Amino acid sequence: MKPRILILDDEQDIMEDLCTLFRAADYEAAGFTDVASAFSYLEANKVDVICTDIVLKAPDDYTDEETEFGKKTGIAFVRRAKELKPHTHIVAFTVIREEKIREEMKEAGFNEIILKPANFSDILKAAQKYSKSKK
Amino acid sequence: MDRLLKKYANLRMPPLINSPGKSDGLLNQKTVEFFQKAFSSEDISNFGILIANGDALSVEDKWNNTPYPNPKGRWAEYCTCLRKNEEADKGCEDHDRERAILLDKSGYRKTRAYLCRHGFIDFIVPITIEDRMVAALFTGQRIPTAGAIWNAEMAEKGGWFEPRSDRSRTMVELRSVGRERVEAACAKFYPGDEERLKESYALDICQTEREVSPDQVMADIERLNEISAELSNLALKILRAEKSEVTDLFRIKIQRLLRDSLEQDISIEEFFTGLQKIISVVGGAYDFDYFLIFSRAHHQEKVTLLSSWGLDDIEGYNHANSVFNVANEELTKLPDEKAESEFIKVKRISDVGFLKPLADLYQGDNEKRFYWLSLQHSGHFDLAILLGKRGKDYSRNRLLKLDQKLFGAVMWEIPRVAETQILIDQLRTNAERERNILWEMAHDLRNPLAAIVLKTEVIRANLAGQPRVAKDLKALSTTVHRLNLLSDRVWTVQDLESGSYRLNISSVNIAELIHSCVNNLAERAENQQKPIVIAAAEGDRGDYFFDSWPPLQTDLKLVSLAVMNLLDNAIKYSEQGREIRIDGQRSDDEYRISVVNKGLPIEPAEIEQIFNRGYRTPMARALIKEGSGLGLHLVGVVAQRLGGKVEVNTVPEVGVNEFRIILKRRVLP
Repeated sequence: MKPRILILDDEQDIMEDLCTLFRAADYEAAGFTDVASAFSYLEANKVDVICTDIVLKAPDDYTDEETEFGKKTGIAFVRRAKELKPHTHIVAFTVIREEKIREEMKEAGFNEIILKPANFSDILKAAQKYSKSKK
Repeated sequence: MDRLLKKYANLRMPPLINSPGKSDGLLNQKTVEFFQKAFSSEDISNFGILIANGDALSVEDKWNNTPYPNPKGRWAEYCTCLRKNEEADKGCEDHDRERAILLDKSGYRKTRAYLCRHGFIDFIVPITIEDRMVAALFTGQRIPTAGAIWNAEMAEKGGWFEPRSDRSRTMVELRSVGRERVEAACAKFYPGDEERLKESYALDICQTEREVSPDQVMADIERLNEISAELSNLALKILRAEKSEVTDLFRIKIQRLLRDSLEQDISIEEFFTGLQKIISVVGGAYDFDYFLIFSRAHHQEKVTLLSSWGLDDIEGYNHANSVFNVANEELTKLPDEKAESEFIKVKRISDVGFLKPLADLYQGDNEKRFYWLSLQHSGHFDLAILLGKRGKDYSRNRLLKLDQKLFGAVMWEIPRVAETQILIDQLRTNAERERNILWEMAHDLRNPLAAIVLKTEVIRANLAGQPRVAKDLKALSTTVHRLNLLSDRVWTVQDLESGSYRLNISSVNIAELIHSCVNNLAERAENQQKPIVIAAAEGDRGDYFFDSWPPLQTDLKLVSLAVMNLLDNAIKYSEQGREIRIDGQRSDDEYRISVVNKGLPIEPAEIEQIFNRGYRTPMARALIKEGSGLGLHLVGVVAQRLGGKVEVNTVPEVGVNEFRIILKRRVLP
């Protein structure tokens, strides 16, 4: 059974290319550019790894405090995802490098943080760490 | 002499406390109560305290007003004693006479000296405006109001106290007279509370006596006197000098005073903080007997004492009013439009944080005060404010005579200082904005870069095996890598300059680090025919120079970044076919790593600028496309963060440049 990865990035190209590359690496990849759709997918499906951006447009049901006006939507999304599926592994693919936010991300349950831009091999390596058993 | 001393050794005297004056009678009463409470009744009868805060009242007045039984009788007894002492003094030894002369700058002081020497008074608390101003300058603490309440507060809390001038000499004398009794009394003052006892200012005097020799105390006092004299002379110079000289003079002097006190260099911010301290003291206007306002209208040649005032009496208020009237007169000469705009500027002054207390001081029911500040700001007046202690005589002549003895804060051209600060704030804001824009750009670059990297990989996966495409994709990857490096540099510089970069100190093998940097850049260097050569150790064939160096305790990432940037810079600006050489020197404390290349010459005049952010020499701009002006800036910032520095040696005639980064062997986290 192929491991399943959920890709969430509001840059359409990045999302699509990541899906393509993960599929080529024998993953089942589902890509989304908006948080609400990603969450709906998560509710309905079992996902091994989530690979998400952090700065994302916040959906209506997220408060400004929660997302800091979109700056931390990815973190808020992961908090909810972890409540729903606590065993899902999370990889951030983001431009955020501030130590404080990175610590916050770890607290929220992120397992790996990959700084953009990175080669796909780095992202794959991070994802594989948490989906090896499936492969 | 001995006989007399013996006779009066057990004389019971009431404490001597300053009598109710015009302004602080109530406070004085508080002091009496304070001391009555603090000392037991038997001690109080045998413990003399003179709180001397001026010469306005005679010792006799003070004595007679002391609220104890039969003060007049005791005064007569004292006078008899004094007279006899004077007679006895005629035959005293030389050093005693010298001491008496030393103290005898005024009758009161002499009296005090006698009182001290014969044990009637155990210690004197001399309070002068000058002391407190110097104290304020040096401690940054606002020293509370003069007189009794100050003593009560300081004694209660334990505070900074430093005597000066002749009165201090009296103090030194006192230390050898009544010290033991002062100590004993102080111990009762804070029974069982060792900490507070240690901090008590009275005991502090005794401790000073124990721990510091009188010579040292005198040297301290001399130093304070020097500072006071310096400030006083400064005030006079300021009033006489040309504006430009004065501004520098004032800045340098105050900086020096503050630096001396802090034993460190001070920045412009700290300088303003120093001014702020002074102004905060001014804000507590009751610390001063008077302000002297020296002003110079631009149409006048001479600087004049425009006015002075005491803040708590009608006379002072009238003086102040006259200043406002003159100012108002000047203002009416301005066209209405100008006047209005000047008024707006005044508001700006009050917006400047550290001037606010001063601006507040002028606010109130008299709007003319705004005009006055407005005139200062508009350049119609130059201003110096001297804060001082008012004598009995409140006349202008008296004040002018006193000006040699004025101490404390000197503020010069406050509005100009404000303008300068506004300018600095603006520059800082602009620089900050510029940095932020750069940072945002570096940040925003990351998403498109990520998209390009991934797209490249998708294309590579789809078109694997087509050599031409593979070559183009490699070139594209190199470009992306360079953009990525640029963005990294911007971020790193921002982190280092903002202080948010956290050092990660570890043991760093310098040889490994250099080899790794060279390996990273070797391909690029070879392609451009600019080989990188690491110096070999003499006599040790095959060994590199750095191989034998012990590890550094430093931040690996930062040192790598600096070396990479130096090499990158050398590759960029070297002539084709010329080698780039890495060399080094080491001492017990420092490692010096040099990168030498031959290429674009750097003129000596450009050396200072090449480490500025974004700077590229005109020749580099004209001839070399690559380059952002960030690389060397980053090297400089890194070196600074690691406690080292960067040096440059150039021989512009032949285009040989040597960049040397000096690294500390051990960097503390």
